[in-house]
Amino acid sequence: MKNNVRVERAIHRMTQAQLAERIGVSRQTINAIESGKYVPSTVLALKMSVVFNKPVNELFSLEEQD
Amino acid sequence: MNYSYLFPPVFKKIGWVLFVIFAVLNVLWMTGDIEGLLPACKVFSIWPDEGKFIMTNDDWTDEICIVGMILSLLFITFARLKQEDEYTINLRMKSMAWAVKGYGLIIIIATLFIYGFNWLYVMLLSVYLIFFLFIIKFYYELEKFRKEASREE
Repeated sequence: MKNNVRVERAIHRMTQAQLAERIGVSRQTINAIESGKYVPSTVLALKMSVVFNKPVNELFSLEEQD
Repeated sequence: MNYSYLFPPVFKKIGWVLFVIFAVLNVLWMTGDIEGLLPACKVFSIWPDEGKFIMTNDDWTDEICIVGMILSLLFITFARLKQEDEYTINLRMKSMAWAVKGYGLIIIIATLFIYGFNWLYVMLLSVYLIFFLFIIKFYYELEKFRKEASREE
């Protein structure tokens, strides 16, 4: 799965720490999500969707191997 | 996220203090240095050497050592991190699975290659093994994750 979290974060001029605090996770978890090492839960994806005001499937998309 | 099954973070420190105390007591008990430290007294037993569900005479040294050690390991294992989130919960689950598999493998190897009273001795020690495996795996992976994630931005 790939994501645009880093791009959206840059658009909204947010640091990883700020985003982490907004959605209730650690900065390291945001880093892991952005680098594709961790797939967030539905709840977390929805929280990001609310923060960035974008639908979930504009933030996350499936890849061939998925 | 529901963390109700985890103890408050302070339990990790309490657990480590108790672990040191009961680790020393366990070593002294297993080497026979504190055998018979407490006087035998009547205790309720579900399954003693003879009979069932009866009062029997027992010295509580071994019970205190084992129960104290397991409690300390339970506290360390299930103490919530100061910053617990869904990633660390996921890591806990993976570490627990690894610990159970590792435990099974070690018991199989011990059963195949260790015999007699030595095997019973190893089985007694194996009571604590699954906790050690989890704690080592979980905290090692957590430290690795934090170092890797802190380097990038």
